[in-house]
Amino acid sequence: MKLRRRMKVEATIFTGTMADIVFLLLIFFMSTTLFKEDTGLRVQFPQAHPEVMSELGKQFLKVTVWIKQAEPGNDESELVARIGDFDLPARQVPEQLKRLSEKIWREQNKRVDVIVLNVDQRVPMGSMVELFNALRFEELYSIQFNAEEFGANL
Amino acid sequence: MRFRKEKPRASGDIPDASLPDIAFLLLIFFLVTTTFEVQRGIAYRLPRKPDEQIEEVVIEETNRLVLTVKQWGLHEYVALVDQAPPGGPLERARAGEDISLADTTFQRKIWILASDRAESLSVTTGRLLENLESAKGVPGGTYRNLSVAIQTENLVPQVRAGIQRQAMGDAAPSRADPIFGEVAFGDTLVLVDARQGEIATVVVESELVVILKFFPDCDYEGMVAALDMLRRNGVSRTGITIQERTGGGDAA
Repeated sequence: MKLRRRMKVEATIFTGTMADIVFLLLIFFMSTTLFKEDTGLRVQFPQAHPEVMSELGKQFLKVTVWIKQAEPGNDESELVARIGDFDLPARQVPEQLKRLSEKIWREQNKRVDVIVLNVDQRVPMGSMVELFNALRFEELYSIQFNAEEFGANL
Repeated sequence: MRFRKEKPRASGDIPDASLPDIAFLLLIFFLVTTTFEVQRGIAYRLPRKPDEQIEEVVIEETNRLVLTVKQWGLHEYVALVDQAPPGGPLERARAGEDISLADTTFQRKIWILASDRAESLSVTTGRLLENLESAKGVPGGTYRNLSVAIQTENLVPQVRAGIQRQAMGDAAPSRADPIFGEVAFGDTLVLVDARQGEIATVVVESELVVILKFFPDCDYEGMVAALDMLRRNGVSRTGITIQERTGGGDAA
């Protein structure tokens, strides 16, 4: 007896290797993803109650400035700052911010919406008010004092 | 011809058919649950730089509270009332009569001062109109008034409960506005656009201005603590300056 076999075209897509592909992608992204970390200056944030704190919307163009004393707790020590990857003395911050905002305006036609200040809680107010005044004279008005939620560990 | 049945043999493979399911489940779980840290803080707007064209703003005595803030040990800050609105719950203190910023009676008195000086609703809605114009990118004065703007732009006015309503509920004293209805101090007036959502917001603020004079060696933490306390008690207009040893100050 002769068996006739009919040739059929399979309509399914072979998915046997999908698991391998997903794992490969997962492992690839796991090993290559870099989270941006601000490792430059270690500061201790002051605290505030959550109801008065605002978070910036994603559409805001912000510049983050880190400020601390060279020797935290010693009021005589110099104030150091970091903007992006650059360390600089804190007194140069307003001038550099002004340059940066002009550069962003020139190259991307965008205005800096807010200057985010990450300041160590031990920095003396005398120097901070000087900084605020200098920021005003550079026409940088909108700032945010970053803080931790009240009750977080000091 | 007889076929011999094949003996069942134990397979040495681990079944891996459910592996993609597990991988996808894990992937989706982490996608959904991962939160990135968001920096939060107190927003502040510095005053404009002094200019010949800008007139100096004079704050009336009835709306002005001046506090000198100094450090009183680690993480503790005290205030001395330098100037207070006459007839209010706070009075000018003598040297040594410092009050802790965390003192609830002191905070309550600031709250009374602030809520007594809630701005008139026409001022608030005027600011809302300005916000709307800048959000729409049209020059100031495009709309004759807020109700015209709401009609032409087809907006929905809403009121979000603010600090006073949150603290007192329906017992909070409110004023009637022709557009927004009952509005209490601290409420947020919102204009909602059908497509863009919330397009302009404004908070019913207090006209009380609190000037904070810090001793130069006071920690930055004290400023955040003072601003935090004031905002929680309805004060949104503050000045930050330094208490000079010789007297006088440098305003910011």
